[in-house]
Amino acid sequence: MTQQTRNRLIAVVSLLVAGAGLALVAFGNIGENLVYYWRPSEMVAQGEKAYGPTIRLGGQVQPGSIQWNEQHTTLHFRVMDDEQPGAAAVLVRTTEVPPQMFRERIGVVVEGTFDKSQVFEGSRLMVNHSNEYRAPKTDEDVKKMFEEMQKQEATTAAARTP
Amino acid sequence: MITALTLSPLLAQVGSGRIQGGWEYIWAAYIIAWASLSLYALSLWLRRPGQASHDSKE
Amino acid sequence: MSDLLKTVLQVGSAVAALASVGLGVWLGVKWAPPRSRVNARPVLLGMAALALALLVLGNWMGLVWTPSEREMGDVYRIIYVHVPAMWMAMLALVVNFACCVGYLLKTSWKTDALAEATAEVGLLFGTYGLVLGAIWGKPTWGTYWDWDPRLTAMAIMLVTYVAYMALRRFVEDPEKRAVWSSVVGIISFVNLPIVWFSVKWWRSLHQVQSTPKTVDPDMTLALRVNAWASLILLTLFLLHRYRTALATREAEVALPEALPTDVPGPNRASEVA
Repeated sequence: MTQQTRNRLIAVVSLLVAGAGLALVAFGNIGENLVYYWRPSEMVAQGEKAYGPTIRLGGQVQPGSIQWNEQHTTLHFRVMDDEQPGAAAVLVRTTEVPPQMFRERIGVVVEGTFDKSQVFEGSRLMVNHSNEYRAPKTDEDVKKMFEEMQKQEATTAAARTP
Repeated sequence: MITALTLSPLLAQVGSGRIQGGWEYIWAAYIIAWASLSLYALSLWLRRPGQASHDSKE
Repeated sequence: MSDLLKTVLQVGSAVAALASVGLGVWLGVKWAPPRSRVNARPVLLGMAALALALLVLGNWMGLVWTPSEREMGDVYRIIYVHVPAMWMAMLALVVNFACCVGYLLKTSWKTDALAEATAEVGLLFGTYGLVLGAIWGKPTWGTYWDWDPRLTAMAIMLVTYVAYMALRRFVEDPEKRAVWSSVVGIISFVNLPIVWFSVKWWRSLHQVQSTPKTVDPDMTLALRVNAWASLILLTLFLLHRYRTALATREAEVALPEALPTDVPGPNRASEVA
């Protein structure tokens, strides 16, 4: 076997190994077993198995559920699966100061522990950002919109009077 | 550690949903980017062929 | 900025970058081999000036010209340095993969030298891109680092390419080095598609890729100018690193004890010369 054919053989073998590795990761359902976070419904479905170990809980912040106690710097809010009415939600209690982007409906990942009191004790609070990047609607934009509306109303009113 | 004093403006806006300021992060990122690129360019210049061998052989 | 000017920028930066890549390839063939007589100085200086001008313009657009973001405020401006760096890392490592396969199929010191160059430059962009991402993560996510699928895959990928570079450094026989590192390069490359698709395949802290549809047009334009500028820089870096690698290889192979004994030697030597 010449050097050249040996090298080609090595190439084919290593490509096969690489391809097999990639296929294993892509289709081998590794993601099913090693999830980065549990959704509230999944965590609750685990029952007592979810009590105790440090886990990550991920979902959206339920609108109207944020309670911020400034004196004790404790934060309560509910994490829900999604925006469907009746989606599973879990109450989270944390003393972490949330990132500035924290708000209703934003995606959050909370690291902490769950127990039979059904309150998730968060020791770390992280928020997601979507893949959207938009210029903000500034106060000036809103003011301009309002002024234009008024102008339009005035002109239509003027048109109507004669 | 974060003191109560620096915390207070932060606490007031919990739930606002918009990042205020943060230019120190932006500057850090841009400076690191420029520094990495220029240092690498410098290393390429120092490693350019012909130079090192000239110095050592002659 | 008028619409005309925006179009000029959009098209101009792309044309400048693609022309630079073309010039880079040409210089790689004509100027990079040892003892080349091509005087590349004017072209190289021109390309460097172009890259620098576009980069300064792109950074200015990113830092000043573009509006702030609805939720991230100004912090999102890190996108203009983080994303191009990651793109360039991916691009360099794809070329590295092609070189690794190419070398094994048809041995050539040129392919080996380009593999060395792409791995090193890819590692540079990937590493500082990752650091920039971590800095961006602190104000937005609330943490510099977490072991989510995207970040973990990227970290593993960087480690494997560090291993690749270390292997290249420690194997002294150029022949063995080229073969072994090609194998390691091919295996390392497995991680690249995983890094890219990790945000789609699994739940992660990192968001999925943005598209022009999810980014305001002005921000897209600024990002593109920065990306094209980075592409010119990438070309220049690869070209110079490739030239150094070729010279080193020639010096190694010229030493009698480094000459492989059982190879079709003559066409080896002539390839470098």
